[in-house]
Amino acid sequence: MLGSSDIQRLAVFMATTLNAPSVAIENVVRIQGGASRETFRFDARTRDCTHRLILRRDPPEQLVDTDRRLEYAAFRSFHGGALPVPKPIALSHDPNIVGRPFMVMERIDNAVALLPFLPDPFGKHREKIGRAFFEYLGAIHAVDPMQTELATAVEAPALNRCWIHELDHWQNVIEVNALEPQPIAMAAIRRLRRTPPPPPKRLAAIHGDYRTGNYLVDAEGSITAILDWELAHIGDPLEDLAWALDPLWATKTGLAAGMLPFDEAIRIWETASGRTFDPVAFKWWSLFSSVKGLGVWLSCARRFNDNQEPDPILAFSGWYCRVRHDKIIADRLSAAAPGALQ
Amino acid sequence: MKPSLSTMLSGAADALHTELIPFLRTNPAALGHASMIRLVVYSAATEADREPDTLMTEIAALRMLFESAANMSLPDQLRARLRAAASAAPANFTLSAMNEHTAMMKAVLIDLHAEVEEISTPWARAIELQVWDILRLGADRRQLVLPGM
Repeated sequence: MLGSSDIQRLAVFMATTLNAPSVAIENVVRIQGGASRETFRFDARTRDCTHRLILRRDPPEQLVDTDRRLEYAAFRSFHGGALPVPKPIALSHDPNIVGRPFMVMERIDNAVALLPFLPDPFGKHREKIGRAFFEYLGAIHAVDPMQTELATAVEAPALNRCWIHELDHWQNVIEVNALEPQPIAMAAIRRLRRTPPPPPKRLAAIHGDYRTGNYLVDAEGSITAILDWELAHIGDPLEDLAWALDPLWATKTGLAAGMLPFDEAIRIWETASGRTFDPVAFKWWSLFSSVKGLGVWLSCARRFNDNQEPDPILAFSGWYCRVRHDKIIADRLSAAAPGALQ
Repeated sequence: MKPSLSTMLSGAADALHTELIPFLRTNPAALGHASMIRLVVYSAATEADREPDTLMTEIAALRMLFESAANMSLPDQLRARLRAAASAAPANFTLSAMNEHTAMMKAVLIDLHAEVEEISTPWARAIELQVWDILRLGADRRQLVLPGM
């Protein structure tokens, strides 16, 4: 939690940030904000108005500064454009204000993050949310990433190295974090290295974790905020599309991301992005997505196991999601193994 | 008769759901944590009963595979590791010891799998299929079905 002295220092910081003589920090409540950062909602009241805000504080183990800068750069890159992205307000690397470095952004009220593993997370708004979901993903990929602030925070790979850049990164994540040997992940990685995908026609900004749970929806089924940009980078847009379409998020419906027929989802994305879907490259990125998923879940399991953080969402993700992705990969590759009955 | 470990853990998950979680509605972070703890405890109830069977079945299948593969035309060092892994046994039947033993066997399995992928013979394909059978069945056995999901 934030203690009273944290809140006093935050008030001074926000007064400077908002250029106000003084600020009162009120209604501080910790909320569920994913496994990567502690998230608090709070109000910053000045003499003239009340700012409704979110504070995202680094986890106890220090992330490298670039992770925090990266997410903030992604917010700055996309706020104010075609996408509903909250306004970034401040970034502080000072660990002495609220105990750890943090960022502050505008709060979007009267909307919720849907839980992806419920039987029917979308209700009657499934198709409306689905259309907006793929349209906004296309809108991200329509932007020239080199013209955004993101390009100042991350390296842009050559077109023909997007795949190897990501595969090297996530293989390393798996090897560093796995608590036991991972024969399914290793088989998938060997397969991916033997069969590189064709390169994209041009680079795109990649959200990195574009899925249900990482956007807010209001009561009318409108997406009001796209959040959780901490894995943002520059690369092949099919990486994002494949992650959004990973079977893990489809639950039991058999629909793309659990929302729309596959062909309709692709058509919306193509129209919004101005790009053409490449089924050969997508097949590679689809398998890669499940490997990346294992990297994410094994990291969660490692952090929980090593007692770095007691957050039970790390235990859940590191268990339920990991075994799901193991099965998704094993089903896919065992059916494709040479000599397997097709 | 005693309540089994699964019964106790299922009961604890249900108690969290019905007796505690309703009182956390005003604290979003606590509500989220409690809901996650419920899912973890519920999963532990499932796993407590089946994990010994999953591990014993997997160890037996890996042992058979390794014994068979050790007779094939593979590098000598790998064949020696296959024989050693096939003849080894867990230190005892605690879950931790069986998991440690399975981890040792999976490390050997990764090397065997990578090796046979590079060999273009029918016996190598047959071993590759056996490897995938073991991996797929192991993944199947470990799936979790959660309440309300």
